[in-house]
Amino acid sequence: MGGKSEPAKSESMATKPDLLNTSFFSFKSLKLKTKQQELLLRISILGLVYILAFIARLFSVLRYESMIHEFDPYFNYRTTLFLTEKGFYEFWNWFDSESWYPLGRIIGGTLYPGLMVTAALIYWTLRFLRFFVHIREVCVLTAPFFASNTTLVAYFFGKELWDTGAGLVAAVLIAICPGYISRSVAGSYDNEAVAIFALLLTFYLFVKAVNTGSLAWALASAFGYFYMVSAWGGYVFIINLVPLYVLVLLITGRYSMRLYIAYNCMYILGMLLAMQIRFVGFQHVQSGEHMGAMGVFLLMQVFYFLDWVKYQLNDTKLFQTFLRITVTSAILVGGVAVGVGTASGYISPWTGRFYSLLDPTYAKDHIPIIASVSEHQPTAWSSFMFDYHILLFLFPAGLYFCFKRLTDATIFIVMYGLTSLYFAGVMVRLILVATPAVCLISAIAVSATIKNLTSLLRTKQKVSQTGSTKGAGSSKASSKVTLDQSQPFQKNGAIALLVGVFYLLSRYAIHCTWVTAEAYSSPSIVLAARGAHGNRIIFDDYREAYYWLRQNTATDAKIMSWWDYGYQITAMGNRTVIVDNNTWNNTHIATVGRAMSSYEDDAYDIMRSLDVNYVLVVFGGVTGYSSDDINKFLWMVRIGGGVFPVIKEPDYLVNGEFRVDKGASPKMLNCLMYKLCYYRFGELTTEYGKPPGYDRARGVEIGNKDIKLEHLEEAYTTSNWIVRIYRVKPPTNRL
Amino acid sequence: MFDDQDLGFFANFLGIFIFIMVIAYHFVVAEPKFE
Repeated sequence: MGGKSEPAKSESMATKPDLLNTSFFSFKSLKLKTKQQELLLRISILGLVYILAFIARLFSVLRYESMIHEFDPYFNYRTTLFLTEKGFYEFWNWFDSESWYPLGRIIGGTLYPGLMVTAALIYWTLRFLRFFVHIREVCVLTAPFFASNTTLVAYFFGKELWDTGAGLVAAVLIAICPGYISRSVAGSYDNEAVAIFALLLTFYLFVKAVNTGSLAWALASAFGYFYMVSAWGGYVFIINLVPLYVLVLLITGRYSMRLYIAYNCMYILGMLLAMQIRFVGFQHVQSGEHMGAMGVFLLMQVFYFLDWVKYQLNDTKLFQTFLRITVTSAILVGGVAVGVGTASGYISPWTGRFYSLLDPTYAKDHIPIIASVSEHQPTAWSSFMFDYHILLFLFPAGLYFCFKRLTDATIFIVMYGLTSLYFAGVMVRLILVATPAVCLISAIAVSATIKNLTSLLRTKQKVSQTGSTKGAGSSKASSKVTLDQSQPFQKNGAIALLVGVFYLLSRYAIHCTWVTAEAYSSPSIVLAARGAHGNRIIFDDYREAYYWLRQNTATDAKIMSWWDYGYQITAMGNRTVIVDNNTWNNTHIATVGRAMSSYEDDAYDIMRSLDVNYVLVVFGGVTGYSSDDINKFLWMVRIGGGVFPVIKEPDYLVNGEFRVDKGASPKMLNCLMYKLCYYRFGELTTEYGKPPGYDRARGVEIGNKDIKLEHLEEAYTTSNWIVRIYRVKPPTNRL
Repeated sequence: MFDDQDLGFFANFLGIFIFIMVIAYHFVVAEPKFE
């Protein structure tokens, strides 16, 4: 404070008495130094961004209620509830007999526990602080909380890559980027909610370790990696990108002790820590997907060794020969080791998921269960525009700035951006992984541009002052006067461009809010539609059906449904399911697919063999809900047919076309799924001016209105017919 | 009662305001005397 008031005092003494300065309250004393202004703005921006990232994700809470969204989050919620009630050891050793009947599932060994443990820790901390919240609220708000934390990591990462300004812009961009919001709204209690934070943190710490060569940062990045491994299967991206980056640095002659320390520490410690996660186990030393990292680790040792030999030999020619021999033998030994490992089965081959990432057509041809999921489809251009908006053209601009100032850090972000953007093109859900890189690179473009423009404005002021005080005496002064003449245009141009940049950024903010509110805040468990008068209609049929199951069926009842609804039935209905969203056993899912696509008699035998008591189907013919089982039916046929060749896709098609009207194939009109969806539907008038049995989801009149059930009976149909439950009758007395 | 429309307005306002602050930040940092 003393530093601020003193100049004001001396100024008032030196110049003529000034009202402002001589008065008790001095305005000048309020004026902050540039450093203080910078600090104030930086802290305010970060604080506001932290709040913005959190509140922008709360639309669904305000519009519906505080609830868990979609499918997988219900499993995560159920396991978190178990963890908080029974403790960690029970959770770790949990054998769940309520799913995959009759096989069951070892929960502790088949999940990534990071999310559940994180939520449980937050819950226990809040309780310790005497905030008695329900675990559901913690689960609902975990994703927004971590999104806020991600903005801080993005700030530090941007600062490390470029400068503080870029860090701040990166924090704002990532806070509201729809590509990230789509997976982190309140209620989206999925692994990605914490994983993106962990991913970015690991990358930041690793880049920091490479920049500083500090063992402490490398150690921190290993722990960041451990957290990532514990949270999401996407850690495979890290364990492949980081070695690839190190390899590029080695090839481009950027090997250094900093790199050696950072990678070795991160790899070895990260690997040992990752082995503690049961689901991952020894994959780091046994799986083909992790072998690249090990290869680069060994290559680093070769580099270190060569460096040492070079120092010892002090003879260039001798060293060249030695280098040739060493590199050839290293490649040979590596190749033989990988060959023997693969041939003997010690190194497992790449998984289907990994292949499908490298080759977009692989899943379609070989793994229908992966191809059937909508989020695994290749990305449309419109999705990129929708999720990135202005970042789509700022990204190449940012790449330009990165290439202009190539450092170890910018090489990393360029590689991260380019590889992840390729994967985002292969699978729509991987837009999420690319988002942080796109935001950081775009932030560099934005910050560098604003910096150029503002410095143009600032230097002008300085030139104008010096020009006017020195006068036109010297030649130096006259040159400045010449500069001054062009000043108004340059200054105006810079201001106009700054306004343009601000306009673009504000459009980005508005677009992000609109996308979040309209597209990414639907819980999908509760559906909303607009009525004829523009009013909002809510369809709460899913929960209605699951609560009916919980209250009206025997506690040991087994429910058969398509795998999409498995997690929701166990979490909300508290009943045993045959298959669920874990999709670990393709044969079991194929059996359900076979039952759904068989005639009722054949399906009954399958259901009896699985002890099924109830069958649940989702039907959108009344409401026009298009994500129903009839539209998913061909995938049931394909997955069923993949294991049981008796199910043939052409039997359900007419001239290659999937139909449900009178022109549908006989097998389609009489299969179990068709009967269960359209039972009694032929009597119902769904739309004014249309005949009874008019399917609003497909816009046709159904082909089989006279459906009779022999082995099943209708147990419950929800108020809008979205969920229909059938009871499997016991076998008739054979005597 | 604060509803989703209010939240939309507030998020827009905050987003735009933060971008103004970001430009202001760059303006302050561009001061030639700033290290």
